[in-house]
Amino acid sequence: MRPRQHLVLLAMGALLCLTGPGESAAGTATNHWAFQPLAPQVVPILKDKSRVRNAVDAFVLARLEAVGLSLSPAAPPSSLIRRLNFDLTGLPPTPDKIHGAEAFQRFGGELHLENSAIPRLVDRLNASPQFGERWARWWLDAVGYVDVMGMDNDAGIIKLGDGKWRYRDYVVQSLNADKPFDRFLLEQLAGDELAGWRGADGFTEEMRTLLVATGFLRAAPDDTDENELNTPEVHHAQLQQSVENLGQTLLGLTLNCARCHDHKYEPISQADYYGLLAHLVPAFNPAAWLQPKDRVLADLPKPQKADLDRHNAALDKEVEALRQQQQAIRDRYRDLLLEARLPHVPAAVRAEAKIAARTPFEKRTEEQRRLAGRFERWLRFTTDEIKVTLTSVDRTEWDRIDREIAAVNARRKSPPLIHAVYDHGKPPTVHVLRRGEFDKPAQAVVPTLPTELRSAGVRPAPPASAQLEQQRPAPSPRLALAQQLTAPDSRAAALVARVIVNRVWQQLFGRGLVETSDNLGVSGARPTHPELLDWLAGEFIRGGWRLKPLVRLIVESSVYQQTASPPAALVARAAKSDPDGLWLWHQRLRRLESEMVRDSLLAVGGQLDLTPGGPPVLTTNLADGSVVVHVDALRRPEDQFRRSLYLLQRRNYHPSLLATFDQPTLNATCSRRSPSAVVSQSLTMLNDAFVLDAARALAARICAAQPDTAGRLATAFRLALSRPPTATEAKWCREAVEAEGVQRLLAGESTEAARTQAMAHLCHTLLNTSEFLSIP
Amino acid sequence: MNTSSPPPIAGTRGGCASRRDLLRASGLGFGALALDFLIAREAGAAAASPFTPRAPGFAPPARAVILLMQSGGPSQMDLFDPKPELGRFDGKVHSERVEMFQKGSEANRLLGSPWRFAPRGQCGMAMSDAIPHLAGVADDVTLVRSMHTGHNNHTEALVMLNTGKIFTGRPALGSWVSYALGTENQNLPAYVVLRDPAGYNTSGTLLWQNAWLPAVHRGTEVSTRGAPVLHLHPTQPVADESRRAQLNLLARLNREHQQTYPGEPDLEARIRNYELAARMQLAAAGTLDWERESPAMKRLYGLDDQATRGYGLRCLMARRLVESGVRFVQVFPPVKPQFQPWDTHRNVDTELAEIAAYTDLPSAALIRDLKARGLLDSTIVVWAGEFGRLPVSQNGIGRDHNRNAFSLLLAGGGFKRGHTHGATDDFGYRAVQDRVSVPDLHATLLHQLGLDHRQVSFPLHGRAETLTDAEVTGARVVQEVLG
Repeated sequence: MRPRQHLVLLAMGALLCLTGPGESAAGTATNHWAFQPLAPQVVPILKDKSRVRNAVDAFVLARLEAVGLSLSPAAPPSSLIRRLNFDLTGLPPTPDKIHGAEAFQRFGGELHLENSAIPRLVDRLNASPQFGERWARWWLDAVGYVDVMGMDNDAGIIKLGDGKWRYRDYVVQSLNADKPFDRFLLEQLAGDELAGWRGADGFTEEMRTLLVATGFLRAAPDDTDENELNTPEVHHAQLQQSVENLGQTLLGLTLNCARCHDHKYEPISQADYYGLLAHLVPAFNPAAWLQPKDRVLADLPKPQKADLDRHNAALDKEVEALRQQQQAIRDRYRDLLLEARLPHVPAAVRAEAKIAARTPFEKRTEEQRRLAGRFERWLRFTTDEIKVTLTSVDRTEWDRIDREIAAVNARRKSPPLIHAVYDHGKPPTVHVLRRGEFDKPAQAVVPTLPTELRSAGVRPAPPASAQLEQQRPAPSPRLALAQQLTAPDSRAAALVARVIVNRVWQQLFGRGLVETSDNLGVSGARPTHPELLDWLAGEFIRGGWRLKPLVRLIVESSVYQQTASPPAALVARAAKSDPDGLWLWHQRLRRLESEMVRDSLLAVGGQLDLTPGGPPVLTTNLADGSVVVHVDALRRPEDQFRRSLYLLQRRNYHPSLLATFDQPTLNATCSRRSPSAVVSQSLTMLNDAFVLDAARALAARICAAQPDTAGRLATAFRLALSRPPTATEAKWCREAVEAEGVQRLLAGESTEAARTQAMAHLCHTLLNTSEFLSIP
Repeated sequence: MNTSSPPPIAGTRGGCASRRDLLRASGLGFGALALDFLIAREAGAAAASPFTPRAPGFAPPARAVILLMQSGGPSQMDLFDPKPELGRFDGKVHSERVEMFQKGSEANRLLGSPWRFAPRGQCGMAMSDAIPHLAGVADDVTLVRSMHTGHNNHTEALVMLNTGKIFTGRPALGSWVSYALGTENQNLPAYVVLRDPAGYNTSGTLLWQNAWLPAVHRGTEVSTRGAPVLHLHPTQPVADESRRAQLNLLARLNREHQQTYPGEPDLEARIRNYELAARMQLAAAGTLDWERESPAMKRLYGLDDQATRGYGLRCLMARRLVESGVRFVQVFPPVKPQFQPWDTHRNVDTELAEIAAYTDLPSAALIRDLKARGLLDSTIVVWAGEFGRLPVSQNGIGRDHNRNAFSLLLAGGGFKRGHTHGATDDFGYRAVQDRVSVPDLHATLLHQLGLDHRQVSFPLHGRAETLTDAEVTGARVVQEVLG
């Protein structure tokens, strides 16, 4: 009965800390910490300054001092180098390339690093092009970016959004350039308003970038290309999903409840929800809905676009003519089949049935449709049924037409596409929707921030009606929204900065200063170090909203650089004074994220292809349920070894290796991944051909680099685990390699094959260790 | 599918449960919980597994569920819910304008069923000739004619039937059952999905996702063709001796590493997972080797007929899994002729006949077989689509989607036998009497497993999330269908 109690206890606990059902938190003024402006924070002054490298340490140590704890010792250099490489670039250290000669020499020996070695390593990693790729994954999770259109329900149907990848590349480039986040957010929310693209004959590089940036708002699934789903209900649902994503990504709030009623747990009213949503209405205009296929912008100068349209229209005509030829053959044979089968139809309706069957479906009357349905067994012929009756002459002709149609279609040209967001049509008045239903409008609202986030002196967007009165192209409310979200000293900017800073912290420690990084609202967790969080948020803003200095500040702290293996005495003390493990007296051993697992497997064997950007590498669903890179569809063979960031990103059908290691499904957004340790991971590492290939590549690499077993083993450990083997480990591994080699010789393999295979077997074992999957 | 993490019910908001999380939770005032857990850990491996069988809240009739998913929206008025008025007014404009999903029903003209209905079994329950085999087990099932759901598009309705709401992103029924009850077989997953090896039905993996429940509770796809579980066996043969030596070395390296990080429960889980992987290979080989069934048994499930072989094999496998202690098995229909095979937009005569020919015999065979083995009392079989169809004709003699009424079957697990529950209006458009919502259905299924749907919860975003969200949906246990 014990677990049963857990259920009840936790359920009760969750309810107790909340507003009860029926009551509403909306409308009541709150002084919730996350909605307050940033107050100046005084960096604590400590008696013992020996571990204080920067203010991060001061804040954390002050708290530790208060509870009678201290920091753990610094991590061993090899651990720290591995940690920094994964955290900053998502890749394991490669001794000869990434962190340069001086670190490499010390890599094996566990010597003390010079004081300047780590800052120089951080410099190099921060400046590496892989920094933007690793942190792009972090941002794209939070945005909910995918390469496909719509809900992505069917495994076998990939609705690739041609050109969506440009947004992914925009994010990588922006992060590599350390674009200030206030500008980064402005471009993503309203880049179109800055671009002056309307009426341009062709797009300049700047226009292109600014339009691509708005792909941020195209993350919510939009299935309205399908006519059955191109309905007002779905338009409104898409709009609602977009504003809810925005609430999650930028405000760290779950707005969903306020879609239908005032939020029960948060001070967010339904009017707040629709006021925020109103900013997006001119772009996702339900009164003049644009299907995704019409929303994309062709990135071609107008004359070229016109040429291209003419070219494709001519092909349409050719295809139509060919189809008619085929239809003529089809009709002839259908009539023959029909004559043979008509006697099955009762004589009374035979004549009408014949007419119905010969009438194309869309031209049949209601009565004809019923008749054709009742006697379908005799009146309907599939293409396959007809094809088997063709004479060889007609069959040849039929196949020729098929080939010609394919040839014509192959000549189609498509322009580069930008999945942009821009205002269009006359925006309707926005209403609160009762129960969230589009056909139940209540009071009208204008674009405004939620009440709790408004600040005196920060101007809201002009209402749409005012724009119309002005009779000139008014700025989009999205522009005003972006400006308000980063306005100096505002409540909104304080929240946005806290959300981002907290997510950066989470990325570097495995847990945010606010554990619920997806929920900084009243119902979320409270920050463990509120002063530090606010100081970091303030520092982030003061430093010009730049990510790289923020990351540097944190990773250069003693707090970050602690060992993940705290001394036993400290653990014992903490058991009493910090049972919940909140006070940061050690780093955490973290599991690699899914992309890091795959990228590492490729990197250690020297297979990784670091080509940046471009269309995604396609994946395919195999009959056994696995999803793998679509090898037959590669533009170039090396593409199968590209970083995981560049593999096709679907909502639901991830490459099996990535899904197994908890790559999140992206129906909405993901602020926080949950690493698991399940048996399918062990099965994958043991038996997946991809992992075996990586092991063989690693073995080949070390055999080429080192002449003897000891040297090979040492290099294998350095590459796979970023450290040399201990004497014991070296002995175990040498014995294992020798035993395996003997086995293989006895089985009749050549000496050379036995040696290589035995080493590959050992490498495979190393790739299966817990340590390979860990950031120490 | 197994970790040594504590029982996942201790998980915190989002994310997976870990020992840290658990201890943190204990800091919020659940000291006893942490103590429980530490004792359990010391007690040994099984006690610390999320799949450890857990006692339900009260003695339940059922211990397992087989959900026979009939994707596409089986036509209630052509299968389970005879409507003579439809025949009488066939071709006449219906007095009520129905809610269409697609084009093709604009004329709003009623369509009589081309199928003949007859009373079946001792109970006299009416079913049509389209499903003669299910009609043959009428005395063993409860037929619910008054189901209704929240959406008339496949994905939303399928997601609702399987997760409780029309929005994606919530855990599936099977995940909740796994989370609440664990499994009785430590060598197999608690929650197994059997689908057509040729592909996924509409909405695919959305219908067995764990969402924010810990990943161990996601449905595990078991294949009836090739390797039963992905990567269960090496892609290339490995000599037994080599594999044994490899696993020995791996265990030593992992233990060595673990000593540096004694506070990390996931490291213990990883070491155990390699042991479990080996056990699973053996267990899977036993349970999933259906070839050893007798020829008579294979015939019963239609394995000798091309039409019924695929789905029949999945039904047979479902029985073998439940027999081996698996909690929840979700069986999917063929992906041909379409991903949602019951979606008879064009012809409720020929299209219905085709999909019924694939699924009718094996579905009935499963119920018969479970009964013969004495397993039906403790196993719930659910035969259900995601919504029903309209009384008016579409595209001639097809029918469009209908969220206002559908029928489903419940067999075994303490449900009444030969019982019909609820009724629709004269034309089968709307459930009018004893209406049953999808959350009601879920509440009732959990109840039969000994679980209170208001209490099996997971904390998320500051809310105690449940499968049925009774506070909002008003879900209730449908006592009237319980024997």
